[in-house]
Amino acid sequence: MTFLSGGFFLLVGALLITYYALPKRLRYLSLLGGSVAFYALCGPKYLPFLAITVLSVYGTARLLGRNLAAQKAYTALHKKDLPKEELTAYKQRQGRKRTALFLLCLLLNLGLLGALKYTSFLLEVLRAPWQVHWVLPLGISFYTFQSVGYLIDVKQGKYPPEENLLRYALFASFFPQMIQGPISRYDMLSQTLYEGADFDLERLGRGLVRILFGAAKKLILADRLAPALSLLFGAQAADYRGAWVFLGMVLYALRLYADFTGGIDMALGVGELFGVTMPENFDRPYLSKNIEEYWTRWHMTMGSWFRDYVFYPLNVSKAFLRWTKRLRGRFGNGFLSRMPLYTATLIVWFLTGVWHGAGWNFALWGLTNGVVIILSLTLKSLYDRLHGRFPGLKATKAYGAFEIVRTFLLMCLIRLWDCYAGPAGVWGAFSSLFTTWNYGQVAARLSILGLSGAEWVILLVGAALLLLVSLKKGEGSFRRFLDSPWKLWLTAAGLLLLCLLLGAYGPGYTASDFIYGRF
Amino acid sequence: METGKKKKNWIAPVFALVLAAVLVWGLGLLVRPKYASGITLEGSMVENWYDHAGEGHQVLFVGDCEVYESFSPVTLFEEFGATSYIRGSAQQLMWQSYYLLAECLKKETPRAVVLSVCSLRYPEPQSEAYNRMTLDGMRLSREKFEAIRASLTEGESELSYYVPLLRYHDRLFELTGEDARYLFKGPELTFNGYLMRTEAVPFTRLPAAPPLRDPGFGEKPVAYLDRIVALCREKGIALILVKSPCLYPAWYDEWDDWLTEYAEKNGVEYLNAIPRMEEMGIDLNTDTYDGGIHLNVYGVEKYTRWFGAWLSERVELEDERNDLVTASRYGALATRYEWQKTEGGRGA
Repeated sequence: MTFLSGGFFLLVGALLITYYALPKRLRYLSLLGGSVAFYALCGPKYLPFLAITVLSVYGTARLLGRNLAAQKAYTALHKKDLPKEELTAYKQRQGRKRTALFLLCLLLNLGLLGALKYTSFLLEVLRAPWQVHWVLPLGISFYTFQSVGYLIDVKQGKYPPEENLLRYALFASFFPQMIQGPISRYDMLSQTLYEGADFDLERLGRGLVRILFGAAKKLILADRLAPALSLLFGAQAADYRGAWVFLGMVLYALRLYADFTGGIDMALGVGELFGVTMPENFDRPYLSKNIEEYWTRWHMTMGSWFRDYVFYPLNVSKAFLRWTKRLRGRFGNGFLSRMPLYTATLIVWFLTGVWHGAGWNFALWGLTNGVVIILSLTLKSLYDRLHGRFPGLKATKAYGAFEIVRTFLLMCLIRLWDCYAGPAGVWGAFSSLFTTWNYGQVAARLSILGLSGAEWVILLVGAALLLLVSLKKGEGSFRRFLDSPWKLWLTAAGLLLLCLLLGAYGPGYTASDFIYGRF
Repeated sequence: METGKKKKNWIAPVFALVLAAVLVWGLGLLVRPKYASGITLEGSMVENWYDHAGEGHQVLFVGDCEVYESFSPVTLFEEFGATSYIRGSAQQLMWQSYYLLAECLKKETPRAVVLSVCSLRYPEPQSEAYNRMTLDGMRLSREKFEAIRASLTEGESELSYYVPLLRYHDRLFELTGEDARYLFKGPELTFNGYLMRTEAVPFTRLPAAPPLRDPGFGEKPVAYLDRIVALCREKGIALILVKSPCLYPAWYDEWDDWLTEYAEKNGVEYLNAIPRMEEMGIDLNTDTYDGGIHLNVYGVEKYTRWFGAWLSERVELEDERNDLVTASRYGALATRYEWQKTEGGRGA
């Protein structure tokens, strides 16, 4: 079941009725029921895996919370009558217990994710004589990460564990974020998830507009581009070189953005219908001026997850701190002394890559991002010196636009890993950008992509509108524009009509699932 | 005061909902194919019947091209004074014939129903395009709902039969003047359901018949044939099962035997017109428009004359040629019919 299936809309409609019919304190149960129903409708075989994660993380978090509370009580009670060393030893013993529990739960959940997601790939890499075809539960990467994040926070005492199993189960399985995120944090999501929102027509309208805006992006832009991109990146990809690669990577950037942000808009919109606020996942990423900025604006919840739960803990780990200290003592503040930082960066980006999928392309995509970030960090002083020579250049709009285009094209190039099979395919496509000079011919042969003139107009106007909305969003004006019920509901009606009239769906189009749903 | 404000809050969403519904409906009308020209004129025929539903026909033909390109209601009226209508469409499957007939019988009770048995050969729904040509033209009713359910091919969206915009939205950039002209009502291109063809393409040779795998018919079409028999029996209507003189696709002896036995068992008539072609005077050099697969207007008239006589011996038909209203209606139809016959081409 996807966000664009009739079944999904029926489910949301039924949930809206049950949600607002129930007393406020029980409304979260309707969302839990809906989440279980959604997951079961996607495939009942996935439910046991979700149940394992929910029960193991809930149970472990409770034990961790209990242990922390007991430790706190014990130290408070014996603060005066026990020597400091004994208290420290006690704390260390309890800490070890918690770590053991935590690691056990982590092993179970990441092990499950790893086994289901990567075994097949690893067997292939190891050229094992047998193969496995295990089921990959829907959204396992998303709910596992969300659950692990919660467990880490509880272990660190950031907040007490959720005591109610049903409430926790809802946090881990809230259906709008199951397919492609966002990856929520418990302390943020729980504020509205269990609250039981009051019926508010305006909020419903805003939720609906967001859902329809997402659907429009997906149906009108992303799905319309899908067949053309299948041609450019498919089995005959070698026939489309040079300018076709350039066109393909730009169109892919548009498709990926429309698809992923469309899906997230729909997820956030569905949440809004029930008064649930989930974190934003995008902040106009294609207006970023460098790759570091881009990664703070694209798939923000995944980026911050890796930053908070992998990068920072790794960087401040005893081993890394010792390594940094040793290198500083030997090499001062130069490039080599930053090796621990770069190593942590590469580890994080490797993990980010393989989180997206099991395959060399994913790993290499992640590492390429890491290498480019390291290069930009390393060369920063050089840039600064350069800009020092031309003061005022950086402040000009033209230079700002150049930086935006440069970052956009850089990200397009890195995404070639996503488009072509294997390093040879990526290298072939990349090198052809400079060696196959067919830029003059492409315009005349655009029709082979199967898009009519009207469809190109739709794509261009759609892309321009997205850009406009992005530029306006900076001023917060789009939401402000919908300041009256008439504007709000007529916008909803207009978006619905646009989706139905201009969407690429029905016979001739294979209903393509959301791209990020694969991860 | 608060209640008044709350009431006002509902105005905008309700208005937007109604507006969206009206626009979805209106745009659906605009983009749905009108079948007014080109090769798929059959698509508008099912819809046309509603304009004639109250005319009280004596004979109702139901089925695929073996009725709508085989019988001429104008000839039947001119020769025998019997009024008739053809509720047919391209590759109309047995269950679709059942639901179309059931819909007709809610409005009229003919003396005879002539059912083409050609589609018994199809055990399952065949293609979305043919489904659309039959089902899109049906008005909203229980029969339409059930016909859709019975006809869906894999991957088809049921909802799109009720909301045409979902199916035809991609025609937005192909719209022509015809789409505006026939916005609310499709063109009437037939003569009481008969789609005229005037060309003559002599019979040469047809592909060899593949070996028959099953001497009977599929479970589903037979079940719907049973329902048609029951429906006609319930209404006291004579049912004639007919295989028209069309040489392709092949009609097997085993099927002929099966239907003969079935007709006997159920007390209905079965006519295989293929062996009677000589008796009818059909000349395959001049009377078919596609080399022997379907009859042209000249063959149709010969077949209709012969069939009218055959039918008169079995069903009491009333001569309505002296009824002024009916005669004038058929007179107008005949004028248009003769004009088309002289002008040539397809449809009207």
